[in-house]
Amino acid sequence: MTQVFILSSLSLMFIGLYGVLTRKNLLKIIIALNIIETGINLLLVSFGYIDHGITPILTSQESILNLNKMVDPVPQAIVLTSIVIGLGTTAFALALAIRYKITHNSISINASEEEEGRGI
Amino acid sequence: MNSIVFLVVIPIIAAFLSLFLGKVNKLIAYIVTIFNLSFSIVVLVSGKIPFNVAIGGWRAPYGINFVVSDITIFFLLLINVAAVLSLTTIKEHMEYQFYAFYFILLAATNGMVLTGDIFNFYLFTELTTFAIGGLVAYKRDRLATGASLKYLILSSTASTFSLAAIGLIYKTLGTLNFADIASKISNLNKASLSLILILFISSMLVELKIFPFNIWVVKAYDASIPAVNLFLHGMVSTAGVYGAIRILLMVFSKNSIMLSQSSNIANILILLAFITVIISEIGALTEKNLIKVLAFSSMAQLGIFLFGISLGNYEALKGAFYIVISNYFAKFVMFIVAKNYSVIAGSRNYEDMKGLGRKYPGLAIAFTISALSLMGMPFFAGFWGKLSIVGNALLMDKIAIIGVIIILISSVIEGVYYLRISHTFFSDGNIQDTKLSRINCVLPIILAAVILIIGIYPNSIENIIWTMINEIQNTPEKYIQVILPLK
Repeated sequence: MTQVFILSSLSLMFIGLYGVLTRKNLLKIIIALNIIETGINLLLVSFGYIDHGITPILTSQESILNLNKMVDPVPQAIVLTSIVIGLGTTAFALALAIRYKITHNSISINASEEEEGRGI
Repeated sequence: MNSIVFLVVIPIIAAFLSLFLGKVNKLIAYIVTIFNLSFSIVVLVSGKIPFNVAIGGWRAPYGINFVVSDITIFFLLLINVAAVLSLTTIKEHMEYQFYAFYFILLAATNGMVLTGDIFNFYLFTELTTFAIGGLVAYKRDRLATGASLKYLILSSTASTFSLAAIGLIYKTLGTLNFADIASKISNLNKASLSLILILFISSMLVELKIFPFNIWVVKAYDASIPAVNLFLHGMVSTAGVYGAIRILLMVFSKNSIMLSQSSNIANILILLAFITVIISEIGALTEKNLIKVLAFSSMAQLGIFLFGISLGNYEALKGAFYIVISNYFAKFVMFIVAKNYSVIAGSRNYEDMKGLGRKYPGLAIAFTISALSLMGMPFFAGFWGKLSIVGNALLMDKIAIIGVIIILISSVIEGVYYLRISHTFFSDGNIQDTKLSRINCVLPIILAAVILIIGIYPNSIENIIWTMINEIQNTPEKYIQVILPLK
């Protein structure tokens, strides 16, 4: 089962990377960034995954005996943080994209290239 | 010394407060920055270095820890001095967004230097990304928005891959602590180490301005206000340099030997440094915009730094430290001079600045001194850096000798474009009278004097540099045992 998770997360990462590298539309680039982040999150969770694992909470004295069956909580904590960072990146990038539309009158990433040859 | 967390916490609290305080923000920015600087000085003179702070009482491999060692305190001082110096260039009223992002940047760069946990390092890097994105976009015009958005996209793509590297480190070594990774890294096989390093370095090269992650640099420098130029140069690059030294040389080097012996990554880094130096020198040669010339030149200097640390030789590493210090002071002088002159001339094209050197000779002389230092003229600070790197690279293999040739040619190219600019300053031209603020005139002269002092008496900082190299040489005793005393 872990292999399925890792394979699907890798494919998500490469789909997202392809999107970031080839798309011209800003919104599509931001969505592709989100796809990469989802892939990475899935990868991290699958690193801590155990088949038929149980939640890593010590409820009683006996539950310490089940330590081997528990999934690893550290990747889950990392993923929670990284989801929040992804939210922040997306919100900030979308806000900038709105201003980009106002200043460039376009949401194509190429629209800002013409300023290269502009007189200083 | 638990109070070391104040360096990160107080700027973050100030960032929240700055949303409501309006005109008081400027004062608060000075208070917080000077607090950070004086606190670092207090830590330096307290004599307790090195020490380790376990946050929340969770001991090192399990919890997050802040470490203060010789390298840390040196870079803390550089970053906080840079913050104070940059603030002095802000004269006009800034809105609360600027100060909020500035405080976040201050917290994040201090945190990057202090932290001893790789995931925490990643978080602070991301915070730096946001802060720089916001600060570059502060002007709200066409150029600034495009530059900021491109930086944000490039940097977040690169840092997602470093998150994957962190996952791989946790999967293979079972730890996220720098010291724990450093002590276990020799168990890791070569393929995994190379994969982790390739993924992780990608995000560090964005801050180090190394090809192919440097397309944002020139646009961001050109689009942002002068204070943000200084933030980018003095705080973000310095934190990136720290990250490269700590992570490449101390954490991911097997048995505390240098990078080149542990994997092929060193050769890749050397090649990237070559390409960076060549591209940026050619770019600077053809550029007429003074700010863009300085941006290209700072890329070239960091390329030489990366070449110095990848050689795997302690003498060359000393040269790399000299390069960092001379570039740090010289670019401060140059950005402040460029800011003042572009205000007077009404344009950033250096050909419009004719005659300014005759009217304001102090600034132009300071600019020339920094230019000579960056070129590597004898008796200026940059000379000692280039001397140790070139002298030691000559004794090594073929690829290092190619690097020597590239560095020497790049010095000549730097001479051509910098002295052309200096000559333009001192040539005849008619300019109108403008009043310059006094601190902006005195500051570059003081910094240029520092460059001269370091150049003439290199012994003044040689000891500090050898203390830091000593820490890198003896990573197990000086770094790992501070954090994990049981082992």
